[in-house]
Amino acid sequence: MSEPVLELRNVTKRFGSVTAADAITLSVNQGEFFALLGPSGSGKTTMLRIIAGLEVPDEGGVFINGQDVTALPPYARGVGMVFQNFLLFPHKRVGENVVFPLRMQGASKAEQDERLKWALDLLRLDGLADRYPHQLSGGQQQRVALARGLISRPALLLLDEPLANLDRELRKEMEVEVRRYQVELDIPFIYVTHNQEEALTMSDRIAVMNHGRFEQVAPKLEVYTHPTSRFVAGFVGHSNVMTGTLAAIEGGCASLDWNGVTVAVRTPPGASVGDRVDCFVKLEKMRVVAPGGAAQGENRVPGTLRDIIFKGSTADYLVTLENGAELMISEGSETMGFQRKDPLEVVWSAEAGACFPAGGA
Amino acid sequence: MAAGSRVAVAAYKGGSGLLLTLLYLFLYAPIVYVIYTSFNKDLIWPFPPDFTLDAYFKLADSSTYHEALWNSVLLGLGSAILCTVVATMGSMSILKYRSRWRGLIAVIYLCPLFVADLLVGISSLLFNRQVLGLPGNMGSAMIANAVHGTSFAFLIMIAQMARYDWRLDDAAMVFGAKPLRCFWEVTLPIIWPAMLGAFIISFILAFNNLEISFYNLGAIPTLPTIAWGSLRFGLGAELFALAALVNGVVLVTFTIMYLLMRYRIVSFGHRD
Repeated sequence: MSEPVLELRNVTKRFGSVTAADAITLSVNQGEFFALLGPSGSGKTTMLRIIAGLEVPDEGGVFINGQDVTALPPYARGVGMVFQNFLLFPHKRVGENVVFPLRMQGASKAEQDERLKWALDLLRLDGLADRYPHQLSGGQQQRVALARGLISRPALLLLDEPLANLDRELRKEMEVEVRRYQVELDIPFIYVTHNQEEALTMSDRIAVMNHGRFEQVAPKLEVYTHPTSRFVAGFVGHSNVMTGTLAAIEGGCASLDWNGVTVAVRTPPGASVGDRVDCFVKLEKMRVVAPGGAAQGENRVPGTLRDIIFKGSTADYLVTLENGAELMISEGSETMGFQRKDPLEVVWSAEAGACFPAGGA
Repeated sequence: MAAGSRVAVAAYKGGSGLLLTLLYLFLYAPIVYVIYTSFNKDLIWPFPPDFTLDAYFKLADSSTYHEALWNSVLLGLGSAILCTVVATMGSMSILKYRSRWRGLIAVIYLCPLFVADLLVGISSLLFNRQVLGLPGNMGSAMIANAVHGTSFAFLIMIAQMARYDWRLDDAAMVFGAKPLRCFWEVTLPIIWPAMLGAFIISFILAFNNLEISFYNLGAIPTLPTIAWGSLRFGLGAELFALAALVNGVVLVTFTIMYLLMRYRIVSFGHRD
């Protein structure tokens, strides 16, 4: 197995009393698309700035291709970066912006021209080299920022919420494109975002960050289906949360008393009877059926349909249960002809639930 | 009702126009009077007008004024360069590094504005001579003039540069620019209009200054010092011509700058 391109060892950074990075250890391999996902203030941008050299960690080391770069300034690290708001140089033309990293490296004019042509071709920016950034659309500015990040064959590319300022349609388009460039170039991308859809769409691996710590680092599917902490379960995907007390434990199975409704769940590790527990079940892991209808699952709870939120290919069913709680279930929109106020049952398997000790809030 | 409100609007517009005219008169009447008089034969009571360029010929012939003009320009340039450099460094450091003391630091930059010219002049003279052992000369006059000039330049720079996005510097550094290169390639091309504004204001301040220059220059004449000196021998025609010229040049400079910006012939700073 080859050496990781990027390695962080025990990186810690404090701003006053806030710990933005708390003993972070991580390695990212060649060709990997790695997403740092977290809410704002979780320290993900600080991580990126530490890797770029814009912040110096208080403790720990940063290694790029095995070389210790912790003490190197940003201009000596040879990483590419795409910034939030793009940060194109407003007084330079597109071509000058893109070729800037090569000029700073002292590349020959011939190489600059050749690489510029390569970058403009790759990002479909032909014909725009003489424009100024303010004459471009948001999507074009985004591609210029990517071209500038990629032109000097960086060891890795850092992306700081690069799609946050684009509208929804354009963002969807760019998600696919960014992933395509990454696959084509086969260099690691480290992608910071607070948007779980972006992270899930593009990345190979996701680190979910909160309060300067990694809550979970795993392939994206695993983060989605097997969250290892309460925070990850709540942050990634859309879930119903059932908070209750563990009434009984029998090996791997337990029953949860959720406001009078008994729910079968997997036994959370280390839990004992009487513990307060949050159980997260993704919306699409639940089914709605007519009373007595066929569906797989240990849990079958009666309720009344309050409303259907039609979303095109799917629909969200809002169901009020007898205990007063409400569940949201995501189903194919074409499935059933339920009407509002119809009695029905919500069915899901115990396996679908992820349980963690109840949070304070 | 409609007619009534139309009358009210007309009266309001007329009143505003009159007020504006009065304000401009208040600001410019003395200057316009000096310029008008400078083209007249009778300097004491120039009505009715009897135009002549005598005053300008006298000024052109006077070698004292030539030397003084050169000295004033030199003093203005030297002082303005000093002011612009110090103010740029000051405003950059305050805006870029966002220390929690930045408010205090900014106020200390601005404090010299509240010290009278006369005091700056006398205290510079004393300090330079007694403590530093420097004679009064052009150099010490430039430095002394830069005391006020820096405050003004700083005020202009900080107002203009508040809009500068320092993350551009981060971007430049990540892409391989060392700090000086980063300033040259990215910061300077964006902030130069602010620097030019600071330079022009501090140049004019030093160029026109009397008290500070007077105490620090010793026997070296500048336009304001010889103008002041010659007052003792009555109002010479050259003085009118000189005043008219200096004001004229300033006015024309600002008009041209305004037109250039108005019609975007020169773009000051970048557009978003």
